[in-house]
Amino acid sequence: MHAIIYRWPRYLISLFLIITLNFALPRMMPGDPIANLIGESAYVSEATIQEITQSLGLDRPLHEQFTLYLQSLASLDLGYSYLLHAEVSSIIIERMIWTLGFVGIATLIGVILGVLLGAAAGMNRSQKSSQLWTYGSIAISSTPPYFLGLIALSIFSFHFGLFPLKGAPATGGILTWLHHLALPIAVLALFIAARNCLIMRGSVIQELHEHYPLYAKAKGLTDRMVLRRHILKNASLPVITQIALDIGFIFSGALFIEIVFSMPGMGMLIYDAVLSRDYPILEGCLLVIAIMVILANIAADILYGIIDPRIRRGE
Amino acid sequence: MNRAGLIGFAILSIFFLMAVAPWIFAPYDPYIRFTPYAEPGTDHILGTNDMGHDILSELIYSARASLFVGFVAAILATLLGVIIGIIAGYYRGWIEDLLMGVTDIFLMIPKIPMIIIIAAFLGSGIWVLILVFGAFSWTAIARIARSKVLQIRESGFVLSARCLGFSNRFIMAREIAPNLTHIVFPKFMLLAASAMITEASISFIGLGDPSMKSWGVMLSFAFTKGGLLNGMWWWYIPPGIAISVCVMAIALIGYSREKGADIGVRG
Amino acid sequence: MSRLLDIKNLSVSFVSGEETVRAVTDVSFDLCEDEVLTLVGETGCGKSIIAHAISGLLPPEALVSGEIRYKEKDLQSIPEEERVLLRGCEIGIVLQNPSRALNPLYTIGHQIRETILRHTEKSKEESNRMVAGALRRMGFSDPGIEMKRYPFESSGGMNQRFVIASSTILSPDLLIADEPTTGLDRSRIQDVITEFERIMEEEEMAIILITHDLAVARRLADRIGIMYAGEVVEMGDANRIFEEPYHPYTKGLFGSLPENGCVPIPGVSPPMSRIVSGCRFHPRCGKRTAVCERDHPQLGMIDDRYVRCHLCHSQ
Ligand SMILES: Nc1ncnc2c1ncn2[C@@H]1O[C@H](COP(=O)(O)OP(=O)(O)O)[C@@H](O)[C@H]1O
Ligand SMILES: [Mg+2]
Repeated sequence: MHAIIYRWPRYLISLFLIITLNFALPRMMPGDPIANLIGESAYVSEATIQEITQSLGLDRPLHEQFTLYLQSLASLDLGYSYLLHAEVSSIIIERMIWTLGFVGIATLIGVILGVLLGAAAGMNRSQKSSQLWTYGSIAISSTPPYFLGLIALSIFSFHFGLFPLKGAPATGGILTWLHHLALPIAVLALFIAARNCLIMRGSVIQELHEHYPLYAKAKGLTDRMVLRRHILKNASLPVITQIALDIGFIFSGALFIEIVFSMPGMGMLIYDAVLSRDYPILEGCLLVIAIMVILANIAADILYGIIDPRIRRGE
Repeated sequence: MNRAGLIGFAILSIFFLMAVAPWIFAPYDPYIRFTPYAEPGTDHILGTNDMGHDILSELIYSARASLFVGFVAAILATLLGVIIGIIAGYYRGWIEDLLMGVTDIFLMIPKIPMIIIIAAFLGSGIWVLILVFGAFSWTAIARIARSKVLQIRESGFVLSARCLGFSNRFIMAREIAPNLTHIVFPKFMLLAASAMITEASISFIGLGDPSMKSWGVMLSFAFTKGGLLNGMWWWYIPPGIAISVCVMAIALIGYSREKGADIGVRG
Repeated sequence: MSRLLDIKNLSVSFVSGEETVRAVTDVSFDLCEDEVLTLVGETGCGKSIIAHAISGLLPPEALVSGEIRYKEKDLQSIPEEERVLLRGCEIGIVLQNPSRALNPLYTIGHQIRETILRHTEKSKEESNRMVAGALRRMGFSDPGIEMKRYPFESSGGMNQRFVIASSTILSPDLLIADEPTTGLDRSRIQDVITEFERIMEEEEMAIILITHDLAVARRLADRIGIMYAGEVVEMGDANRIFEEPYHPYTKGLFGSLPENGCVPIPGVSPPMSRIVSGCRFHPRCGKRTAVCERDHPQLGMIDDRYVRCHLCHSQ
């Protein structure tokens, strides 16, 4: 437990860093700070500009502005999108549900698949099949995830017409949803599986250099039992840390896949916000993603603590 | 180097040649305008795009920007990481605690969203991408560099250099840094690979450098100008394949140099 | 005493690329029930390889020739399923480096119990009682506490005794202990020696004890085999050899003991990938003659023991 508490300041500082950056970017960047704060292509009346200047305290010194900014964050106010005419927080929450569901399901499938294939590849390094997994994984993780999406879309949707072009139906029951979501989830899961396969493989190979698998074998366990009862558990430790650190990357990959499949999640939101330079939305998204990465790391710490007695009972 | 590493090296060499002297390979100047939306044929092996540019020539000329971003960003991140890692490992004490704490914090910052937002504010350009990528990607290198320095700081040659009264800076630069090459190199290659994928992603959402042709920019145009919807696979598949193959070549070289986790057969 | 183990012309080599490492060459010995044989020799001379060859723990890339007969069965030719069941039950092995032989993520109790659960029909509770009994016999007054510990919470010496307890829990007929005292301080070494003396007294067990600590060998051995560069150079009754060594290498080894003046043998062991012609020890031997450089000596009977030396045979 000690180790987890020890890391708390780092999470807080990293959150603080992002918040500070969010605060500083529109105010420091070249150009009109008002335009930077509300988005370049938003047209607002003179009265609204006055109002914004007032509420954000733009006419006051920076440290007072920062206090105001922190206060509004504390009340979960991420600002207002003058292009979408809505609170940034409510827009993001609406979109985030999509993205979280999408990333959650794909991560679950991808991690299980990747860990199993990686373990197999690490155990029998010279086998043809494990080399296939290994090189396949390198190839997939060398490809931008959205390009995997493009290929899947052009093969399965355009060429064979098996799946719809868009990843989200307007209406319909659970089957329609599954039909729409199957392809993007498969693509993201494949991407995640490839990365985890490589990590797990390396981790298993590392564990094989240890002595305890040999001693477990000396107790009369078969190779399969040694793998299941000993190596898998030990090798999963570095994988947990890696996945947590990878969450930012997986999330970004998911955003781009959403764009390719026109899914109404945060990816599309960011894409549209980039095109229209809707800065409040972009800043809100960055903050939310950063918080998710931090949460994933905290979750990984807790999981690590449950599995590893050295962390749980350590000094 | 193993066989996979050698294959990677051969492929990367070809891409480098394309980046240095694209005119050797390209049938046309990539800015000449022909009939737009032409299908693949004898004149244009991969057809033409919405502007009438020859896609094959565009593909070849794009190697330069993609490789440039990848390697310059990786060099920047590696330099930062090595410097921070050496200082932390050499001085130890509170300096080490501080630098490693900063490393942990930076490790958690989502890179791509960060680049997106800064590029959205500053306007797109490869230098924004390179600088932001470098500024947030040094963490892994700093960690391995530090642990290696911790190993070698007590070794004979470092101790004797200290006894001889060489300055700390001299010892770090001349005695320690060269010993890090073989552990830093694989990570450097993987960083270059990751930077190229990042470039392709950022360009895809329209934040690429508008004045340069890169594979990501090509994909972005193919996607937004109807290449995908019209089934013009020869427009959007080749740049994607080029990214994958080039990144994979770089990654294979990196992995082949990594100790312990050796991929594939030794040849 | 009847014969338990009979090893004939055992050779083990590793081929990697151009290079062949001949780790063990043409080793033969037998072992009776209840006998303690010690193998001594410098690091890298092939002791562990012999231990692993007997228990079937060599990595798949090892090339093994010769015969290992255990209770009249040729271990090389019995099916793997049968051999797996011998390990831990009939043949126990204590690997070099105790702390690394234990899995850091499981409690001591779990790891000792694992052997019992694998080979018997006993319930978890019965197994726990058995483990507690074994630990109590080893002098741990409160086994319940020890069993709940993790390896990182005990010292190297304690972990070594846990490994010995685990390897002997089912009273195997053959126990192989690979450098059980290396890396321990004096008093811990004493604990381990006491433990072995207790086992030798209370249990009917043949023991192959590998060590390069001659003091330990002297305390425990009935018979001793001296190895050099993958070969046995002298083997016979322990007391007789300690009284009067014949082979120049054995003499050198004994001469390097503190009580004999700490005179090290000049030179270093040759790499096993480039075996010298003639007697393998001749480059370091003070008494070498022309024939030593030319002909490889055979292991031959002199008086009460086997010796591999031209000089001893010509006397
Ligand atoms: N997996 C392996 N591949 C190649 N050589 C090996 C391998 N394992 C051991 N060896 C070599 O076999 C020789 C004997 O090793 P070992 O039996 O472990 O020595 P020791 O007598 O110290 O226990 C050493 O020279 C070692 O380099
Ligand atoms: Mg050994």
